[in-house]
Amino acid sequence: MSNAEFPDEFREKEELYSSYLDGELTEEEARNFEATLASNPEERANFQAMKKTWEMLDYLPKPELTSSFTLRTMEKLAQVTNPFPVKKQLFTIGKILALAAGILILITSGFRAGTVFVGKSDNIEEELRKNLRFYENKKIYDLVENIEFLKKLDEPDLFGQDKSDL
Amino acid sequence: MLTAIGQSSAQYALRDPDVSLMLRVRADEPNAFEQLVLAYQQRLVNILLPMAGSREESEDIAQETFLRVYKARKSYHPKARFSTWLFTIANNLALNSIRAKKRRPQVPFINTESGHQQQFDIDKRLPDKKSQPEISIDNAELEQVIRKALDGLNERQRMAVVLNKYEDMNYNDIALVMGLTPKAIKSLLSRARVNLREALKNYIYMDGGPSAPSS
Repeated sequence: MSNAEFPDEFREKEELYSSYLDGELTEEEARNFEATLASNPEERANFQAMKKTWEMLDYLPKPELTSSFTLRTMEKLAQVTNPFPVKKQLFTIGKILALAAGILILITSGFRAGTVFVGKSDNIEEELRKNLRFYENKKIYDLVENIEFLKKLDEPDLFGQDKSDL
Repeated sequence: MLTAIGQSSAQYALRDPDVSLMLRVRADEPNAFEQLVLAYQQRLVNILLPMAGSREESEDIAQETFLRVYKARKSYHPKARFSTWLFTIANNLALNSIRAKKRRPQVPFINTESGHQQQFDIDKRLPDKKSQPEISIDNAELEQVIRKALDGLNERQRMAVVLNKYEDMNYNDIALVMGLTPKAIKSLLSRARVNLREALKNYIYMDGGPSAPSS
């Protein structure tokens, strides 16, 4: 219904009824309006009809909310706040797993390499310990160049002390 | 707290506990948003049902309203009561939904048991109002008559009515929600009342009230 359908006087009167019902009039305006109603039965009847119409809206029952509404809302929120859809999520999980596997392989390889290296160094130490005398005298052995000759030198027949020397 | 949320926000939070709750949502406090949903879900659906027309649709719009609130939480700066902000979002979404529905062709038919379709018209199931001013209908039918009268209002009038009637909001707050002036709200509500009175004139005095005025 447009404004043109209501004459100004009628519209003002209806707005006055409406504002009074909504408690939007000033104290003075409300007092004046009440005085008009008291003295004018027609006005009073029109006002009562409007008041009654408004009260009829109370007949409408309040809608019952679906019991799962809160849960559904929170679930929808979880979907919205999670920036990745399921497919992307799976893709991301795959990427994370691949990365983890890569890191694991690197760590395992490093560990193995380290073990080999450490094992080698253990062997060297063992070798050094076994042939300590050799390595201590290696310089002399290098000069001699012949181990058989060196052994012969050690024989008492060649360079041993004679009894006559005593 | 004052330095964290700002002085004006703190003032609003003191006046309105729901502003305080929303500020907790803004701070990503666990469970705060769920509390907000629980506090407002029924009220939202109450005001959205007359706009949307069905419970399912009103719940969908209510849900979307909550999601918008959550998404906008970081930019929330209280300037009025929290409900005013919430209902503004709900009103905009409801109007968008109504406009979208108007663009889609609607077929107001219901299926009958025989498999034929029949136009759904409440007037066919109610007594002729013109020929029978003194009619007798039960509460369920009266409810449908009132609903139809409400549906007969335009969207703005209907929203102004539900905010005023069911949320007890004053003209200033309704104006904020609907992006209009308080004067425009006064006019909307007045015209809505006139239209409702016209639509319900034959039913006004059926609930044991005084006789119809002889004007």
